[in-house]
Amino acid sequence: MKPNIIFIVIDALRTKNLSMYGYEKETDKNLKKIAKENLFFKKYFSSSNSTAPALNSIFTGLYPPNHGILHQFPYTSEEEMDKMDQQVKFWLPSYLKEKGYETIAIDWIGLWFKKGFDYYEEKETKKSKKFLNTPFIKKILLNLPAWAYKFGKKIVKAKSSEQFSPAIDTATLGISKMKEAKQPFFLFMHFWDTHFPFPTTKYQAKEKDNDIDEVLKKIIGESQKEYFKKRVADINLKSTKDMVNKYEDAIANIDYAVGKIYKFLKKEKMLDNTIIVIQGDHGDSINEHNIFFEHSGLYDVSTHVPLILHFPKIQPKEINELAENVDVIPTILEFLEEKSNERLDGVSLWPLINNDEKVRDKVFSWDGLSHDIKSVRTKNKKLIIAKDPTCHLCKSIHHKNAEEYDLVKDEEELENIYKEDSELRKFLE
Amino acid sequence: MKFAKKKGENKVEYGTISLPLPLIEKIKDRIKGTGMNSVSAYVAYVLRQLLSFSEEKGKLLSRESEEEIRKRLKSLGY
Repeated sequence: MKPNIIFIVIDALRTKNLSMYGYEKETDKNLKKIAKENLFFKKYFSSSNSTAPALNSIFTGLYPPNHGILHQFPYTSEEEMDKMDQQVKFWLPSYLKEKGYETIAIDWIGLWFKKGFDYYEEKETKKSKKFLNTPFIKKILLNLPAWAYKFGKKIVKAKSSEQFSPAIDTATLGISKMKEAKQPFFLFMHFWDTHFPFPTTKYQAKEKDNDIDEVLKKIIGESQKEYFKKRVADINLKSTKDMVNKYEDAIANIDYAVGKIYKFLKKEKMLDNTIIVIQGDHGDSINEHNIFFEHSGLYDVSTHVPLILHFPKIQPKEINELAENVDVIPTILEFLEEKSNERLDGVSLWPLINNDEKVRDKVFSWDGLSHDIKSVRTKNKKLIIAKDPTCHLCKSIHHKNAEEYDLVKDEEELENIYKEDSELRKFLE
Repeated sequence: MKFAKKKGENKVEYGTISLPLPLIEKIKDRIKGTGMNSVSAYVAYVLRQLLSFSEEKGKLLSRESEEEIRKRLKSLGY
């Protein structure tokens, strides 16, 4: 009997705020425990800083230029979609469906990501938000006195956040689907709570220190200032510290939900016939590198993400060598003793898991939120080349044309040491 | 490993299809102000949707649900 496969993708989850990666606060009690009991990857990277290209890499085992989708929807061009149609021959959900898996997705992103799933859904949202979140209601709100506007907006925001399922609902739906599913099944669950503006968090601002005006002073471009102001207004933010608190509250909610799924699998004795992949699709920048509340740019905060793998009867291990999101499919296929007839960019991680043999010495990433930025990263160095660094979101520029960092001396990527004769340059040409 | 494509390599090829002129005119009207650049882009988009979801037992992504996805992405800052 083929094992079930569960993919848990946590949106915008960077390693920086997780205690299992060294953060001082325990935001991730359950994930940390799951990591300890399984294969835990400390140096895992995403091929993109945005969902659509990263998820495509997760489902195809290909890098963005090879699966076609370089940019986040709705910045995806027609040509990129055409390329995907012509170049993508292996699509994990369709492949598993052909192999007899029942394929289930709990997500709302839809688009081409629905392909290959027998069931693609999320928790049904309440209808009331349609009434409360209309332009008509917004117009009325804008004509109210400030105190009434603030109160009214809170109601509308509370209702509009209902369009996103909180982590626990996604987990509960996932568990009920597992109970009903014919085995083997492939279950894909996408948790969005950690994506700005953290639509499901109930956390209320507590910080008294208001540093928003100071942050505004640091931003040079008018377009980025405008974008920042909008984002601050979206969640009525008082300080960057509050932003961190909201993010961590969202992490804790997902951590609880994932813990519930894992406990269910344990209780039902399903761990012996289930593969589990828990990963972030991309990271996020809170205030690093003057990129505020968006995951633009290819600094580690936006590309270094968690990965935990569970394979039946495989001993736990902490892995400190490089791995990338395109590697997950080849690793699963090897475990299933299956082979793709199509070329994949990823490599199987089994030599690393079984014998500590390095499987790659570099990882690549593409910026899905800017016009044309890519990077290559080894364990010790990173080179970022920006041919057109304009950000689609805030229309400003987050990278110089070439940046190189010594990650041993400068983990935070602050001192650009790029020189024309960079030894990494040839990998990006 | 190879990513950078040489000029002309892996370039998407296009063919020609015929459509009745009144239909083309209707599409031109439909795409005004939508951000779609051309009739070809619109037709390719609609067909892609149709083909992508043919596996979904004929269940297409409705205009309403696509609008919903765009709205949600907007609320996330995109």
